[in-house]
Amino acid sequence: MNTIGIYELLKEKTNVVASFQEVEGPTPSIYVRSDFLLEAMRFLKEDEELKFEILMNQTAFHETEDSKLFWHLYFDAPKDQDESHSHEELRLFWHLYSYTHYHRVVIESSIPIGNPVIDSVTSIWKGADWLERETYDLLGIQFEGHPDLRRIMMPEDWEGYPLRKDYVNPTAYQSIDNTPSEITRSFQPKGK
Amino acid sequence: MKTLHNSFESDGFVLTSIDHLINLARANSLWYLLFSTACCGIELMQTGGPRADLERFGSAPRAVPRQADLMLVAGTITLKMASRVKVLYDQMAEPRYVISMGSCANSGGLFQASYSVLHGVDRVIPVDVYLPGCPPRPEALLSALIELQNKVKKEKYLRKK
Repeated sequence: MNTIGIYELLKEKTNVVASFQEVEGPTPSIYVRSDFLLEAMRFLKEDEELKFEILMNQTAFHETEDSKLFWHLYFDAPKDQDESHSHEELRLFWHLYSYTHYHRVVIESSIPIGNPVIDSVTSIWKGADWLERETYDLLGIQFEGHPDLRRIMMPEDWEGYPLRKDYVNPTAYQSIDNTPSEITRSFQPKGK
Repeated sequence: MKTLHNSFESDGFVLTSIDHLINLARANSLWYLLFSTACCGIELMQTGGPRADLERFGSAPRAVPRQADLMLVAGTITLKMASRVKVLYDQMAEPRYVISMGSCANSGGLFQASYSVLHGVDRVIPVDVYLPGCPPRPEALLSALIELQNKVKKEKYLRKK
């Protein structure tokens, strides 16, 4: 089943607030409002026609005014947008695959940067555990209901979330001086 | 031909200083810690293999820092790894030497703009020989080892504090 079919089924059988993202390219996606995420995900896994048993990937990025990739697309669907969302937000993606029906879908959601809390899907796919820990590690998204939400790659005492756009690289860590050398600074882009 | 070997054929003798003799032994038994963090490690393994063969210079890999004389920092060192490198270095018995292998260990290399990469391993431990390259070929690593051997041979080990 293609993404538009999955979207129509989702709209028909549940009352999830969602919109279809007609992105040109190989991966159209379904935008689900963050508070309906668990309901939508459970439906996608358990419905006989969909059967998405596998969470292939879960990731996110920090979207700012400068980096709004597909922002114009969301303006076409203002009814499904939570109005409290500013232009600066964290946008999450889930890539699902079905071994039963050999189809795939991309689910998308967003949460405000000021309150980065979303439901964890570890109750549906166990494999989401480490993926969500990585997203938490690099972007600081709090997954509610995650069994063990700790940093996975960065040291436990690391401050800040490196993949956020406003993150400033540390010049020291513990007692190690890590100030960039003169040569390193000459390679960095101007105006930064 | 007059060599060290045939000097002893008929009750010969060799004149040398004790410093030279000790340094000859030390320079030709630089056992290295088997430790690598990135793609330079692949070149390090290749250097230990039959074609380049580090062991013909007396360098054997050691799995324990306490048995090693030489640390080859092969690869990118992240800030998380830096404290571990320091611990491994501290566990090595003196005299100990460090070869910083590749651009990443020298300066952070390709990844120096990253948030978590150490700008050169010399910020954590003292380095004896810097070896450029990304990654350096096995021949380059051998030349770095010979360079280090020359350095060891010049030391006055017994007169050190």
